[in-house]
Amino acid sequence: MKEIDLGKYKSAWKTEQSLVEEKLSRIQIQEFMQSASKNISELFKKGLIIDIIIKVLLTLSFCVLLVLYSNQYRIQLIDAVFILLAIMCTVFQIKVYKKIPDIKNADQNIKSLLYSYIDFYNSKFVISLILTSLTSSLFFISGALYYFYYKYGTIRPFQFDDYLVFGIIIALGFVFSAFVQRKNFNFHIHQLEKSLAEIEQDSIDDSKLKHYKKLNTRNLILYSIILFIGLLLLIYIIFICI
Amino acid sequence: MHKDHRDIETEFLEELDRHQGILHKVCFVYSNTSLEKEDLYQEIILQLWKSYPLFKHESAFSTWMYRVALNTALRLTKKSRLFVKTENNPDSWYDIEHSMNKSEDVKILYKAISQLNKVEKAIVLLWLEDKSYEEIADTIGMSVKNISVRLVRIKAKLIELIKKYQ
Repeated sequence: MKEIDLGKYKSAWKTEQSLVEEKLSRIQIQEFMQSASKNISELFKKGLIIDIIIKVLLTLSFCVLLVLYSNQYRIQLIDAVFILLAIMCTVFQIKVYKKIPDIKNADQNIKSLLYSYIDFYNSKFVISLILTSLTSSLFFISGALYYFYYKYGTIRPFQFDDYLVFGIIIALGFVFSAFVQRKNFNFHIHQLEKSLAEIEQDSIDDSKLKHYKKLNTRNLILYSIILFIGLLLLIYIIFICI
Repeated sequence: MHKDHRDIETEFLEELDRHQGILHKVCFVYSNTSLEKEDLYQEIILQLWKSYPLFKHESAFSTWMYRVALNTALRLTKKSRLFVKTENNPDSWYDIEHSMNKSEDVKILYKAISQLNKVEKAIVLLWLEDKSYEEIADTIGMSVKNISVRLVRIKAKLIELIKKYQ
């Protein structure tokens, strides 16, 4: 069997003129310099900016509701809680935005950069994802409050089935949004993790990655449960106890 | 002296122009189709441009460029087209039979490299460019020892793949 001389292929590579002669024009380069990035962190940044804007608008919307439902103490109390929730979420999202690994760090070594990305997505990303998903639920609540105001001028006492229907819609909005986002970003993160695992193959074992994955899932479930128990408790206290 | 934006842009464009070969080689190795190549060109140039103000000239521009380009190629993830495995679909190799005006040896090498994973591609690309083990290790973030071990394995893998495509 004929022996393969890799050196021959290496010198063919080095002397291949087409790889050196191929040129992009200055206009093409300048166009690329001004284009939008498809990098995962840029996609995440854009999503986060949109979410922050929507949350600010929702906060304003809840403030308007506070005025509309004047003299209705119980509704104002609920509204104030949602204002507080929207503000807290917005502040947290702004903090997350500032911690997104910077595009300008692209000259780190590949392993460090992959670690900083994966580290970020497995720590801050989960909570941010929950808060982003909460936007659709807050949007629905705000819309429902406006609807009740213009239709009845108040919120009529809820029956069990009302709680059930509203609860399901709010939960579905949240779960659907969380599912789609998680699915989308997990696909990207998985590819980064795969590259990191390829680097780590010979040096450190990939237990760190497994730990991240476990932590990520645990956090998502834990925070979602806490959030929903909190919301249920809030509704219970406001409607039943007060 | 303080440089304004236009000076920085001109300087960057001149440097990039001088080292366009690096860009084409990285995009060539990490793309399967001309569309993917275009996307990768765009992303790498964008990342280079955004990172350029932080380039301190402590290393050669080419070394820095390799690092940013490889980082970008490894991080650019796409659902639909980019980095889809193509082992069983030679038709989707980057214009291999049609527009590649390259020598037969380079075509075979390209086919073999396209079967490697992303990190192996980065290592082999730097090896093809005659970078030292220290430089490769520094770019990837592995120890020199690990790089040498990995290179032995990659070369063996390449030889098997070349045999297949010869």
